[in-house]
Amino acid sequence: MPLPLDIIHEILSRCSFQTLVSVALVNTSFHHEAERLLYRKIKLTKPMGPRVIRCLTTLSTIPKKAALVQSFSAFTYTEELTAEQNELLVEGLCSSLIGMVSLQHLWLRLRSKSELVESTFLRCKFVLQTLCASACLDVTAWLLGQTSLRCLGIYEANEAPSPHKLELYRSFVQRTPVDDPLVVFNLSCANDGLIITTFAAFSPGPAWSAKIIKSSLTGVARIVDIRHFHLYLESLAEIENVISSVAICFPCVYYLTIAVRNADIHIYPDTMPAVLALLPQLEYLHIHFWDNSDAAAGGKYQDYRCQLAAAWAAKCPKLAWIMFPDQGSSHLNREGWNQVWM
Amino acid sequence: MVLLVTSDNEQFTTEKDIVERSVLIKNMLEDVGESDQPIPLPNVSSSVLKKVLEYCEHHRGEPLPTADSEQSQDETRKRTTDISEWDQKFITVDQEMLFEIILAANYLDIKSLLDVGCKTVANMIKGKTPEEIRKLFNIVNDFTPEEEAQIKKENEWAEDR
Repeated sequence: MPLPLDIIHEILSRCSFQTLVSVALVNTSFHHEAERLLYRKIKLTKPMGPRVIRCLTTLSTIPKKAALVQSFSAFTYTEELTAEQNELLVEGLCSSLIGMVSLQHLWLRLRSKSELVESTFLRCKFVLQTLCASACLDVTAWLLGQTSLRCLGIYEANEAPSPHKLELYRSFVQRTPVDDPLVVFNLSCANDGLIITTFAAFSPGPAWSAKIIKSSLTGVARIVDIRHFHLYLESLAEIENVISSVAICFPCVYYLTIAVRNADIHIYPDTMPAVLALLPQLEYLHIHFWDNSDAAAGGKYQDYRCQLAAAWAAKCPKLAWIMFPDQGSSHLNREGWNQVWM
Repeated sequence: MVLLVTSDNEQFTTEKDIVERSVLIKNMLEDVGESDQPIPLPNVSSSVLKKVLEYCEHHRGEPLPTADSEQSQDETRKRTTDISEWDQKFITVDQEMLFEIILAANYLDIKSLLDVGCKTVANMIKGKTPEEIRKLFNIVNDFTPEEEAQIKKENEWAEDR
């Protein structure tokens, strides 16, 4: 009894890639269904192995197959590659990207800046929903034309974003719909885990979600390794929705940094304890203002530092250290919250 | 109680909560409301419906998959061929009946039964050569040896995935 193609597709979607390679040789109909699945999602994480070369050769020489790719990861970051090998890899990658007209999700981790990759983006016809790429790659010109992008991740972004970068991120976010905004995040390393820096301030309201960051990290980083979270907010009034989402997606966060633009951080004594209680592992809280200068670091909070710390930490059992914008911090010891200057 | 009529005109009377595992029938019942009218199932024979109802009765009361759970399960579900012991025993039938059950599950929109059927076929083709798969599905090879060699070369990268 012949099975219809939609059922064949259902069956093949439960097969391993090795089985799909065999199925692709059965006949024309099976070939099409098997290859749709084989090429839909490609991960090239072992750089310069024969598999990577074969894959890029197929994708760059057969546009029909490249057109099947919807999700593509290439992590070519390695010191083991010679300059020549790296160049070959990047060339193969660029030719492949041009053929990927159906691509929606792209993860690119490059060893170094590549003008070839940057100019290739401008030639590509794909309309991405996710782009996670190394900080060394500057695709600003391409990004300014994107309205469908929902997640922009930047790897190895080890420096705090400059005011110029922040303005750029804001302009990217503001090109996307208010009810389904672009989420921008940086991923960097700390000694004891990974740091996510994200800019919820640019898409305030309930539409912001950490879920998209979590799903974009699948296969890139383990959720348990995300120990630091750095949030940019307009004011602490926005914190409830944002922290609820972060707590669900990244429950292992123990160090939370909040950058706020509005200096009135002393007026949320009720919201903060309930919100911080959502992060059971939280030990350190650092609040600073977007304007990091000494002149701007003061505020009314300075009169209430220890009271604020005691109130905020009331429902957060592990929270024992809170740092304020003027570098004054409150530390919890046997006598209660004490003021310490850093 | 709900009355179902199969393609070979056999009638089955069954309880509503059993048969409502089929999204198709559930929607039909919601559309017509309380009625004694039989529900015709022109695409399902009596022997297949008997098996389908056996499955639905065993799994009655279990939560139906929602669109969200379907989506979150997608990646893990797709690449696994784990089948529970009862389902495995249930689906141990000849190939024609297996395909009939899959078609019925698809028509009646019983996602969990479709999943069991598809996983069983996926298990059957696991590790088989293209020729063995052709035999299993009774398919004629329409590739020339050159085309076959070319496809093999192009997809070689995926073998050690």
